[in-house]
Formats: sequence, structure tokens, C-alpha cells
Amino acid sequence: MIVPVSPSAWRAPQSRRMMRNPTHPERGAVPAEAALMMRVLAGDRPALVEIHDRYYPAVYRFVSLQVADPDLAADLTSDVFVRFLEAITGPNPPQFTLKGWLFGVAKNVVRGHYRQVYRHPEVGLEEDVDSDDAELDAAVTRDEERAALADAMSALTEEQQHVLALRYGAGLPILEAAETMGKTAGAVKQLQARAVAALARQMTQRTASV
Amino acid sequence: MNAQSDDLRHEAELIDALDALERGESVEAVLRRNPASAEALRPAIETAAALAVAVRPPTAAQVDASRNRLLAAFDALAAGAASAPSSAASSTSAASSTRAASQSPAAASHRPRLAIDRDVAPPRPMTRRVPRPLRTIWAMAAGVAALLVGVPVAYAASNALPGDALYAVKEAGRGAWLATAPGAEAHRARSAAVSAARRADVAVAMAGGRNADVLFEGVIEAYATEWCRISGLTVNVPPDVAQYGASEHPGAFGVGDHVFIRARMNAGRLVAFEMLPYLDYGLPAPTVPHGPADSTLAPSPTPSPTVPGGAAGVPGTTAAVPGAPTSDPPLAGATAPGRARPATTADSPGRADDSRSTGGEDVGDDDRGGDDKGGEDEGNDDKGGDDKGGDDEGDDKGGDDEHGEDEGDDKGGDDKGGEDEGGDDKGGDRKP
Repeated sequence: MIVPVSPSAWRAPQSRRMMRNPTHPERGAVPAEAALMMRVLAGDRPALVEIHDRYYPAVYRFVSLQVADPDLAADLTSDVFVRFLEAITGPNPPQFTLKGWLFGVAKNVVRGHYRQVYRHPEVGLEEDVDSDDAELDAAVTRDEERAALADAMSALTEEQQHVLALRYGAGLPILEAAETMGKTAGAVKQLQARAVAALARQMTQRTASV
Repeated sequence: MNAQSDDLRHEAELIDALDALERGESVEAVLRRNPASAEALRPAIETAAALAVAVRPPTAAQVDASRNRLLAAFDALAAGAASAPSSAASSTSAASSTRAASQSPAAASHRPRLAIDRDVAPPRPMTRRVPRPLRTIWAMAAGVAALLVGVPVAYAASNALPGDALYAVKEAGRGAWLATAPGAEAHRARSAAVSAARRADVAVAMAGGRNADVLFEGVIEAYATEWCRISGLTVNVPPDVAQYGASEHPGAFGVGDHVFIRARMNAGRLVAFEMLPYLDYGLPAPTVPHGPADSTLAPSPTPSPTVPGGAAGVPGTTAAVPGAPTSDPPLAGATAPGRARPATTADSPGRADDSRSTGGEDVGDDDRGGDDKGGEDEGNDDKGGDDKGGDDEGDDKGGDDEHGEDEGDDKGGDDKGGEDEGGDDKGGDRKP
């Protein structure tokens, strides 16, 4: 027993939507992630590894859509999982879906990162390297596009950023994104469309200003 | 209006286009499906396509590094938990002790914490904490404001009557007083006092000619067609109200029933619109044996009933009910004129009628303290006097009405043997 929290303290993470829907297929059942959580709470190291490996890619993609630097995105993603470990030993463990909880923390981590950057801005070094390697050029171009997208996304509302990161970053289907955000599928579709349109406007403005 | 509908149409097209893009269609194919708005949709569709390819998966090295970091934190936590006093016990009680530790600052210092290298500042809480001195000042100011407002309101509410805006405050105060009763016995006593006070409020409000909806409870002391005397208050009970619950409660309501009444007070009369069995809320059990409603009771030819002082054991109901209708029909707690009534029906010990009515009738308003022997007291107040053998259908206050008939007002004087009909015999003796 390494984590002094009883497995019984973990409530089966049924989402609010699942609890409202009496015909939900997973209603009343203990989903796989709840079983994993119980194992983690019982001190099962492999269970922790399983949770990490299962959700790391999605959380990383979620973060990397908003943070262009891949190393920084990896660090922030790692922070999310350490916070998860800290949370399950504390008084407020995740109450609903683990996936939704992780994305919520990831959103806060990214927001905290940008707040830090805003307070202590760092000026990067200009690195103009001449190269004849087409593949390298393409990679640099993609990185620049990613950076431009991440930069433009930072101008959107928090909710718009979140829906884009969930849908295009983590790759969640509409229904799962809706469940994670606590909205209906229709509301998420509408929010996504507006977010994409706003992002397109931002990109156009930035291109025009350059 | 047109611009708004255009926006909505554009948004719907964009949603459809994004769905198509997600299904795997190319940007050009999606735009071809919407030729009219292709140019408007193009930036958004291209941005969405760029988003879809902008995301890169993590490298294996990144995943490994993160996993190792997580496991190191896990091991550190395990080591901390093993050495921490709160985790020494390996039983399941560790869970509760940890929860307690998280609440207690002293114990919290023993709770193993993860040493996280925080590159990112933790998100601030949504609300900012107010500095302690300022909080103290605000709390004191709130307390003073509550006193300044609460005391006058409570004082004003203490004099409120049904129909007043502050009557709800008065009722809330009663509820609080009831809720804080120490023990069942005290609760019963307070409940009885509250019920009596509520009825007294109704009586005073009726005397003042108020029109309001009222709510009270009491024991049915007398019951006739459409009329009830409930712990001293005379209430008009329409048949549909009286029959409520007849299926569950044979005979609906009868003398001795403890009932809850909602009534409308109008022009000095109480008309019930809801009458429910009052379940045990602490009032003393009625001492009158239960009896069915006497719906066949004929109305009195001289409808001027007297209301007994109030239910025994219920404080605050001894005063005569002001504003009681003078044309009320007779009530079934006593028998109709000319019919001998067993003393146990309405004059049983502990009942409201303090007068001693032996064989005769006391129907209507107050016959207090006097003796009504053999005769009939159908009129108003026969207070303190004796009505022996004769008929007292008027007011006989303080005097003696023996053998004769006093159908008028006989106040203070003696009307012995003769008949005082209609006239007032005040102070003098009328002895034929």
C-alpha cells in the first residue's frame, strides 16, 4: 500500500452525461479506467504505467497543438501525469472520467505555461541556416506552420482552444469531446465550427500583417 | 435579419463541410459540394485541414522519459508513505486518516507529498483570498448590519397577523423555536403553544375584519353540516372539503379528530378550503372519543351559537372567538334543541365547555361558569349566571334565569319565573 487512499474512495468514474442517460451502455458498470484507477490506488505500479501509456499520446497531441515546441510539449504532458499522481493521493481525486480529468489538467498546464511566458518572456535566438536538404526545409516549414497555428490559437477564447485541442489534437470523436466538455454533440459541433472560423480569421490577419 | 440568417446558413454549411473533411474527403471535394459559398468556406476548411496534419505524435523517447519521471515520483511517494506516520498502519483506516490529515494543517505536514519540478506555476484559484483583517472587519460589519435590520424586523413581526407581510417572519420564528426544543416533551409543549398562538392570531385577525388565508390546526369539538368548531374557532366547512379523504377515513371527519385547516378569512368568517387529518405533530391527543359527523343535525331555528372557551390542554385559546358568525347553525358537539344529550358527548371532562350543563342544551356561544340545568341556553353568552329550567336564548350575563324564559338580554339582573322576551332587563329584578 503506497498510496494511503482506500480503493473504495474512488468513485466509479461515470460521467455526468452517463449518469443522466439511463440507457447508457456503461451505466452502472465499472469501466476499464475505473478498474485501472483502483489498481493504482492499491499500489499497483504496472497499472500506473498502463494509464500513462494509454493516455500519454492523446494528451501530448492535445498539448502540442497549442505549444509548438515538441520538447516543451513533452515536458508539459509529463507534468499532467505527475499532477495526476499527486491528485489521487490528495483530498480531491478525479471524480468523473479519467480522460476528461487529464484533458482538463492539460488545459490548465498549457494556460499556466503561457501565463509564465507572458510574465517572463524569453527571446529566442535567430537561427538562419542555409540548407539544400529539401526534407529539412519541409520539416522547418511544418514547424513554422505549427508555430503559427499555435500562436493564432492563443488568440481564441479558452473554450475554442479547448475544443480544437480535443478534436484535432487529441483526436476525440464528437461524442467523447462533448462528454469531456459537458456539452451536447450539437453544441460541440457549433463551437468547433466557430473556433475554426475564428482561427482562419486569425491566420489570415497574421499572414496579411506579415 | 438577412445577415443573421446568412450567418446561420454559413455556419451550418461549415459544420457540414467539417464533417465531410473528418470523414476523409479532400478540401477541394468539400468545396465543390458548396460551390455557392466555396470562397467563403475555403479559409476555414483549409485551416481545419492544416490543424489535422499539424499535430504530431510523441516520440518513443518522449514517452519513455515521461514514464520514468512518473515512476520516480511514484517510488518517491511510496518511500514517503512508508516512512510517514500516517501511513504506518496498513489497514484500510489509512484512507480516513489521510483524508483527515488533508483537512488538518498539523497532520498534513506528515502527508507524503510529491516533489514536482514545477516549470509551470499552479493555476490560481478562481477566487482571491481576502486578507484576514479585512475579512474580520467585513464579518463584523455584516453582523452589525444583521442586528440593525434583524431586530426591528423581528420586533415588528411579533405583532404581525395573518395577511401581514411579516407574518411569515413570525411563523419562521415559531418554526425555529419548535426546532430548538430540547427533547420530545418540550417539543410537544411548544407545539401545543404554537398551535394555540396561531389560532389566537386567527381570532384577532378575524376580529379586525381582515381578509386573508390562514392556516392552523386543532381538534374538532363540534361538527354539523358545513360547520365545525375547531379548538374554539368556528369554521365553515363546505361539503367537498369535509369529504376529503372519506375513502381512507370512513366518515371523513368527526368530533375529536385532530385536523389541519387552511381557510379563507373573509368578513369575519372562516371558510375552509382544505381540511386534512393532522398527524402527530406534538399536540396532546384529543380526549374526546371519536365520533362520526352528524350531518343530519338540523339547523337551529335561532342560529346564535356560543363558542366554548377553547380546547383543554391547548394554551392561548380561552378567549371567546371574536367575530364568530352570529348566524352559524348549531354544531354537533351538542345535540339539537329538545334532544337530551349524554354528558360524554360534548361535556366530557377536559372539554372546552366549562359550564355545567345537565340534561339541557348549551348550543352556541359561551356559557361560562354558569349552570344550565334542564333548560336550554341557545343564545349568546350566559356568563356566570344560572339558567335553571328556563330557556335562555338571549344574553344572560351574571344574572339568574330560573324557570322563566329569557329570550332577550338579561344583564346582571334576576329573571325568576317570569318571561323576559325581547326586552332588556338590566340590573333590575323581574320577579313575577
